[in-house]
Amino acid sequence: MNKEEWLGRIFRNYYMKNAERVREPEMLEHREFGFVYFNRKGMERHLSFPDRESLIDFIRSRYPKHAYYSTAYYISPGAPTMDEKQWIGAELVFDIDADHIETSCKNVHDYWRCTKCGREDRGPVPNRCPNCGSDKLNSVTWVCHECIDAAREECEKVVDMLINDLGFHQKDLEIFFSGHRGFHIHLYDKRVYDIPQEGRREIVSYLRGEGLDIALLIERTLGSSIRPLDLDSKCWGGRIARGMYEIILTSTEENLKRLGITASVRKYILLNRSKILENMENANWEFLREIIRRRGGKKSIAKIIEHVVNMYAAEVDERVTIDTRRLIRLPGTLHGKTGLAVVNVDIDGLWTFNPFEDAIVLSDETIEVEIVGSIPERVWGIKLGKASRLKVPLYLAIYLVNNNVAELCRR
Amino acid sequence: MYKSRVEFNEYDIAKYPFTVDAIKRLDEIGFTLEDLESVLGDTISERAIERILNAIHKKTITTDTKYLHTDEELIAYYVTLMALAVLRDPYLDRVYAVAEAKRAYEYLLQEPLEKLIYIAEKTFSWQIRLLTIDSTVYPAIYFTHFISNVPEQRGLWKLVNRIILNGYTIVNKNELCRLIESEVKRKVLSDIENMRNRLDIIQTTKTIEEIATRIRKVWYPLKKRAEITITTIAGKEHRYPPCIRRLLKLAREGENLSHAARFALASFLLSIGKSVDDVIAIFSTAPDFNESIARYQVEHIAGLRGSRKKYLPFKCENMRIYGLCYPDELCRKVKHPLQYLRIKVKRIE
Repeated sequence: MNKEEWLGRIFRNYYMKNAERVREPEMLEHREFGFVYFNRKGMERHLSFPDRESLIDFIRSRYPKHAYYSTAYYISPGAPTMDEKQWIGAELVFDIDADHIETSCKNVHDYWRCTKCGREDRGPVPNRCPNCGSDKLNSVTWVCHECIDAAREECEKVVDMLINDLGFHQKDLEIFFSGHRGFHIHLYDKRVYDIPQEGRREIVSYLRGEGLDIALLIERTLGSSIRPLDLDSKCWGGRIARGMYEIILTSTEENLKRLGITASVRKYILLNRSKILENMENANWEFLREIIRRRGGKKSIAKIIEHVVNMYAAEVDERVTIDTRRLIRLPGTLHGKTGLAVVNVDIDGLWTFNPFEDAIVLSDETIEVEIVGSIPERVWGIKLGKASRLKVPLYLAIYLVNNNVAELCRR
Repeated sequence: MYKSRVEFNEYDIAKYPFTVDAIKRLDEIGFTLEDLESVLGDTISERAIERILNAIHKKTITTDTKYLHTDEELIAYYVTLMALAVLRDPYLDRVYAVAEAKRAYEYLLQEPLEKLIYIAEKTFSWQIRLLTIDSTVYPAIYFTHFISNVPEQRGLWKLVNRIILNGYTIVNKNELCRLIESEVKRKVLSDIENMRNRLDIIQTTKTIEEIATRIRKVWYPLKKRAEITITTIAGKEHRYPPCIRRLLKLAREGENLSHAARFALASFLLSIGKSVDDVIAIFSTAPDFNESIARYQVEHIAGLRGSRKKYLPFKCENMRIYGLCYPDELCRKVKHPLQYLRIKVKRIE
């Protein structure tokens, strides 16, 4: 029995017993579905189902390795071309993947090797080999608690901005663990369904704080009746105001220097700290003029603001959000690489969610695997040790085998 | 919000023939396409032709004040859309929609705020609130209308630079006019498209066909000239934008390009007039080259298969997202790879 057949059996078993976990999207009959199967290359797309029952029947009989549905809904979702499908609208989705976030744990658990020149290293997998420039790299990457925490933080930022800045309601938002390294946030508010690609890109841009015009921000704060910088404001102006407040409140010669603030401005801030803070609290931003007047003043303000923007900016994958014809993982199905389930995460319980407990739905019966590659000390919180044969729970064996570091021991 | 206080009279209907009020009036008049064949028809079809020619030559539609209080202006607008539907030329649709939107914009600037809000709410279903800050009342629109209609994405047109309160962003009158202008453009385009989709049901008339013929005579030579300019320089590779030059080089070197990269390259080359065979030849050095698959895909992009839609190359923003953007100095001035080529050609001319 090859690896794919073995996994296929496990997945089939899961779907036979747990089909009720699969959660179909709203307006199921208007969605396109796509599946990847075991022992077969590529994805089968352009499938549609009239009701839940037929979808479940299909999943049971085909037990896909990966299952997706369209965030868009169409008049004829099963039609082969986009024009014939007739797009009606699409949910707004945000993809947050630890893969795209800098974390120190990648230096511990991720590894890559260039197939061209043989260069290898630990840490985040580069797009191209730094040695020879080839993009053919083999890599082994893992997901750990630190990865998930990093993704969680970004998730929290996105939810905060969607609700507090953009006026959406928590009831229209859902978070799903993606089954691998991150989260998907779905927004079901009807007002977003017909936003074109451009508009969706602009929303991502907003979440990432891109295109912030610092000169404009200061000019308007100092010269108009509607001031963007405002400690109480629930948009970027507020975030920047609060960030600046915090930086000035906790400023020392050291950390201002580290931010790239000029000596003259550092001196001004440190000498007038309490006065500046008091002014900010009273929505008086005239002190900015004082700073601008000093040597390197404009640049210093820009440095502080850039620092604040980086602090609050949310790291979301732009490609997923702007694609109004995207297929995204179907909740309740299994991720073919990890065997973890795509599960709903309560927004208020985001920080208590533990994917390595809450998304494990496959059996924990112990099986023996032979280690054939380099493995981290711990995977999903389980200590693995250095033996060449390991007894591990079945759900973990799937992940090890899929990552090509372990093989099943013949029974 | 202002609905009860706003007067939307026949002048307004003539100025804004795309509004729901205008459609209601059109129903009241009860004009049919058969009426177009009568004596009245001549004035209306002349005006319809004039509207399209204005759009082509002046990029806006000028209105003789003598029309401003007649239903004919309104009827002429719908006859124009019908003629465009028959012409089936998406390029001309865009030229016309832009001109019609421009015309609306010029009028909107003269209107009181109440009327702008009335149109935005009633015809385009915008969500608008009035916010009072320091005892001044400001209109604030829900951000989705804002981002769907901004003319460009920088400065105050970027959401990040705006004040947002619970999803609503404050706009001034000029901004509101500009945002409505974009919405009008999309509305005109979708109205033409809807009419086109109904062409099988509605019988077009002799007059409509005559209008279309007269427009074709003027439009086709102009359109052809624009296409030729681009095709003649297609052979001069050093004028291509750096992203495309890089992809060409990689393709020729037999590098295995990503799907997005192949699409970017093929759609660009097809857009500047290269043949399907020329494009396939470029991909023939790919390690996984399979002529029948490549042909299928290139023909698809060229609009010869499937949806019969010719695909435009990615714009710079998308190239950047896919990691395909390798900008040079000139790139700072362009938003689309084809624009880069046009600038290069202009410089030579």
